[in-house]
Amino acid sequence: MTWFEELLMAFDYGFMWRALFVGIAVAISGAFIGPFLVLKRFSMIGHGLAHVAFAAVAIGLVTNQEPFIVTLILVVAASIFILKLNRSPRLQGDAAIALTAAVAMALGTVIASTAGGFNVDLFSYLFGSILTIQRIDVYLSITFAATIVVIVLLFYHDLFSLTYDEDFARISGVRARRLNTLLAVLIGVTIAVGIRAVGTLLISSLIIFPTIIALQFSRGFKMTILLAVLISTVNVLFGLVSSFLLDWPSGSTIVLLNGVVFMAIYGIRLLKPQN
Amino acid sequence: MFHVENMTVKYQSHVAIKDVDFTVKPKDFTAIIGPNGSGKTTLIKAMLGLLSISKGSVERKGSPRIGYLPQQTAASDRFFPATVGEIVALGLLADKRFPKTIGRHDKKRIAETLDALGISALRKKRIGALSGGQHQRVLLARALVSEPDILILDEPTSALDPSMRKAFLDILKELNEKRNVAILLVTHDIASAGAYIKRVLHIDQTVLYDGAYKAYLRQPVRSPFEAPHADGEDDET
Repeated sequence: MTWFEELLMAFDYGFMWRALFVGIAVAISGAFIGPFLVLKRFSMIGHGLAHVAFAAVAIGLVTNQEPFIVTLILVVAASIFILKLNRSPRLQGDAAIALTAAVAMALGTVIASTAGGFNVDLFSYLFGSILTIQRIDVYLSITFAATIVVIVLLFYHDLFSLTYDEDFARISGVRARRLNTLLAVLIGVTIAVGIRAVGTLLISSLIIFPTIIALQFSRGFKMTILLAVLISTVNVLFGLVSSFLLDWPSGSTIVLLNGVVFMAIYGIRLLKPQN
Repeated sequence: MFHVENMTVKYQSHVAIKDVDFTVKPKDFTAIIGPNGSGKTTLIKAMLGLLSISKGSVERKGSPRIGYLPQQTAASDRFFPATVGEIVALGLLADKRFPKTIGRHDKKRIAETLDALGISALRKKRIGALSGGQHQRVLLARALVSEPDILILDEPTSALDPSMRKAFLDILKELNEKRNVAILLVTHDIASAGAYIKRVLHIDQTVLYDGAYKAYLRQPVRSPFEAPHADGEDDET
């Protein structure tokens, strides 16, 4: 069987379509909030929350609760917690993210090693597995992604102002604290939505990579978001199909593809003289 | 427009400014001067509500529209993905209600403001691709697009060469004289601003002098000409 026949066959399977829908939903929601996080120098929060998601999935599995719901609640709570901790003058830089991530990872590992019996399942949550995506995951992903897009569009100008110059935004009547909290909630939701397709440990890259790649081309802020959405969607599509053909974990394949695209574009930009 | 009374601002246990009394009136063109770390930036940030006041009060009389040009260097914007038009549009958000949108009328105002500052051609340029002088004019356009009653500027000319500095101060003078915009200018460079300002507020934690610029020049002990200080450093305390 040629690879093209294999590719066509992939779309005979329901799980492949479910993975595509979830993957595109994650790609869009991640790309919509990515520019705000990256440009506010808050890229690592996604990585920190991914560790919290790992602990949350372990808790969900050991308590027989739906891991998505447990992850959604705990990751959103952790996101707000990190934001509040970050404001403390006693904690410098991104120490709040590092502390939360370390504690969550330790908790998840302790639960995984003591409870037993669900390590295979946990592995699929860690690195993403398109075989495990259920119909309910598709509905939830699309609903949450649509909600994220609508919220970002409604608050677009305020979020942009806050990202560019927080002091000026506050003088312009932008409620900075509320908006930062909203952003923290949106990050948490994106992480929770993305764990099925990409896995807890790799989801943050879907928030960062598309933005970083888009930043190599874009002139304006709106253009950055649109390019990030396009890049992320294309990479998720190709990544999922490749993961099927190569029998690789879906999350790792998508992230590797993003990495290759970024390195290629960054390399070309370095070689090309700037105008 | 602004009445600051007995204002004290602390950073934890460090007192940044203490018992400051100060009033901004319409048509004022005031320079806030003082050595590094004297609390100039702290004073205006507290006036704008960006810092908590430990003691005293700030009263805004008649809800003046405020334009603000923060202390910022063009270098910090070098890789920020925003066009000049997008940045200037941010100055209109104070008048908007949820959900905020930038309509045709707003775009016309942006175009008029850019035109007035002689930077129409830059509208679609990336903010990071501009020279220091162009960058400051864009931030001035963002502050002016809402047609403010008072313009508060924090070291706006520190990164500009002498000819750009003069051009920038000429714009401020025209705004003050023709459009009656009150100007509150934090500066280290009183030598350049001297030909433009009407009033001086000299602070070093507390107010050392508040009055006419010409009279200030006759007080050698308090004059920065007599007590020179390092120029161009960040005043953030």
